[in-house]
Amino acid sequence: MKENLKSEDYMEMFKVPDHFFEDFQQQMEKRIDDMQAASVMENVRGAQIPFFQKVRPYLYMAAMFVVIFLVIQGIVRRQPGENPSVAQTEVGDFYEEINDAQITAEDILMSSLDGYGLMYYLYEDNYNDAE
Amino acid sequence: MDINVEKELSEQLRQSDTRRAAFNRLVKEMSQPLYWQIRKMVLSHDSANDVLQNTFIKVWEHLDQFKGEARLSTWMYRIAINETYAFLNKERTESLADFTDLEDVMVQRLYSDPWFSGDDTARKLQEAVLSLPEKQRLVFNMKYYDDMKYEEMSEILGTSVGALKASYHHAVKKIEAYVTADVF
Repeated sequence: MKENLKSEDYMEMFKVPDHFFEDFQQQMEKRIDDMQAASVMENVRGAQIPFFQKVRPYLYMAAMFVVIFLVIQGIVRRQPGENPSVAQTEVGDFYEEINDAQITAEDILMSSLDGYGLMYYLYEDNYNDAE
Repeated sequence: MDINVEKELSEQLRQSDTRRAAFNRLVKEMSQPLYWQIRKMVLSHDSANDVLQNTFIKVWEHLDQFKGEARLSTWMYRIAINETYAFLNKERTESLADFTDLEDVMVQRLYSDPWFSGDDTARKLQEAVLSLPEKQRLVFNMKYYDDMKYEEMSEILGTSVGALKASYHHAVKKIEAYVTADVF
């Protein structure tokens, strides 16, 4: 097997385009030139960036943290369970507004009626009126 | 590449004022041997061209990491082999997504490749070589086609000489079995 195929024979079977290696060298030189030019441009751009532009992302980030902190603080302060005196005052005010003397027997009757009872109560009234 | 030329180029590549010219010479000296090493693994010319370009870009980008402990050509062969493996892995992932076998795809490509002019026997041999695991294929190519010394292969592949001899022996047996199985 070894006598039949060697490196030269391999190159006979697997062709390459004409002048490929010469063109390849030029292609590589151009690519390296482009890479070097891009690298130089990047360095120049990096040196030209003003101080504020360089620190701007960090300033934005710091501002964002401050806003988040303030929002969280605001939410925590508004929690009702955290300030019982406010809740008690509100409940106290509600009960103070109701005067026991003003409650009539009909109010008590109406508050104790459920849906069925209410219908029965109205029906009975109508029936009595008809009578 | 001659060892004295390699030493001279290694020295020039370390200095910034001579680096660029030395690299151009390196491309001239090494593009052919690296191209053929890559082509034997990927088979198609277009793929070999892509991998060769990536290899030289990697060499350029990592010149500072070359300490001169190994030969310059050995270091470049290692980069070329790593780039070839990376390319084949990417191709394998893509072929898996299409539920196809990469080796089948490569055989099909070989049949339709305008830059391949081998006869049926040559195609059969390439199919047999493609049936080998990648590392074994690489060992076979280096020994069989390039007649590379085991010591040199050992430096490039980081594998012991004994293991390389065994790998080559198994590769030859497998290829013989593949080729004869179809004949009889």
